[in-house]
Amino acid sequence: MRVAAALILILLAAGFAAADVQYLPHVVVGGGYTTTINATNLVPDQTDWILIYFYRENGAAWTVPTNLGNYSRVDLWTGPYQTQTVVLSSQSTVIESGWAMVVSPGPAAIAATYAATVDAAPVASAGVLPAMPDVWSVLPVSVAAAASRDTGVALVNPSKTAGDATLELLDAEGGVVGTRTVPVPANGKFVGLLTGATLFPGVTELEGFVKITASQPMAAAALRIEGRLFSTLPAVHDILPWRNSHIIYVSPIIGQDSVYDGSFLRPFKTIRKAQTVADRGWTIYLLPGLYSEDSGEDFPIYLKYCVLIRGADARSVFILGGSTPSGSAEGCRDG
Amino acid sequence: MTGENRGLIADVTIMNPIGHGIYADTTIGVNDCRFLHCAGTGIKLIGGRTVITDCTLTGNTIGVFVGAEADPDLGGGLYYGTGGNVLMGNHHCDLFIEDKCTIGLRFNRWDSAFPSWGTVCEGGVDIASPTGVFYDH
Repeated sequence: MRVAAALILILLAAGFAAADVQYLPHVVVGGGYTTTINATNLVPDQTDWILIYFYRENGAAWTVPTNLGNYSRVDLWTGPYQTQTVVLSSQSTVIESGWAMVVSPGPAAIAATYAATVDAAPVASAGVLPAMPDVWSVLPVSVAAAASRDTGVALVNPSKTAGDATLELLDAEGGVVGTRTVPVPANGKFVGLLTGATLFPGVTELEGFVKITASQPMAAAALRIEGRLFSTLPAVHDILPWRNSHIIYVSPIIGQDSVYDGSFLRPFKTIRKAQTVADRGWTIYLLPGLYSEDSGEDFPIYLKYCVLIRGADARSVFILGGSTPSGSAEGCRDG
Repeated sequence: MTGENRGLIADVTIMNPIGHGIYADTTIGVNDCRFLHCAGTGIKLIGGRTVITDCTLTGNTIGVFVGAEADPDLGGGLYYGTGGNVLMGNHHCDLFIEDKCTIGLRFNRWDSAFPSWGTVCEGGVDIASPTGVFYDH
């Protein structure tokens, strides 16, 4: 019996270790705000559970009102390549915010959308990128007091011990404008406006970055707010955007091919578009999300001469090819 | 995904329900990637001196296919590969070597502590080589 129990524990541990975990650092509901989360099971031939855990800013489990009922954990029984949707919405006038952790036994693509309504009329919506914890992150920020523009920063500490994070506010050339250190509770989150009292209240005009150095891995996200409008900003972990002009950013969630320029703030939507711009020695940086024919990709994707295609993290960047293999070397250009 | 000479790919998960993950007929670099559940081969190498480092290949029909003209390095080979790959749980075999060649295969993890070997790519054998293989692991 003991051997069997030990075996089960080992199998459970092995299964947990193999699980993919992704984070949505900012989830909001109430006061006209809704959050929609889409989870796609990318494992063929296998229906499985995708679990979404919700937590409050202080780290406590958060029971949220969803289209499936009120739960602090939503279990989605999801078939191969099937997408399940959870909508967090409430008639309450009180805005509540927290964060979510998505656990899947195999690869799963996660995407979310915020939407805001006033008197039941939609006023804004924005795609939301999943985030992976890291000890340092870089977020773009934009502040313009005259235009009521500010940047919200969310920082989730998924570990069981409290930590802190140092936020360095940098201008567009990487010069330090100011530094603040904020505590982040265990399993909880810090959230605040860049010009809020906790961070940098004296800043009235700035286009730049926040470099976050945390005591332990934390998941970061930023939201640009301009009046009633808002948009999600990407985060990176392993590059210094102000020192690398030869990086093209791509996001299937917040990117656009037709009007954006592939910069950190205005990423392209498809790798295909980025390939048309990338030259020798350049990097195509893939932000978290699912790159597939549905998102506009054209397979096969060619690796160009001396061009690096680099994902933010293999656990949150998925390329789902979809072309049929051919028998010959010339024709075998599948995804 | 196919490769021109010296293209690089890193830190992504690649899946293809009806084909290969990567097809390369020339030299590319592959670092810190996952190739999962490809109906064909995770990484199919027809030519070039591709270096594969810190990648996970699992759930594919074949993990890595090395064609007769390919000269890859999966660890400890001629092209400074450092290994760190996980080749486990691919359906037919984890590594298929089409013809005799010397391949660096050091510092990787296989289903067996010492990779199992066979002449036929079937049954989940670690390394299959129909013609015999001189490999270094």
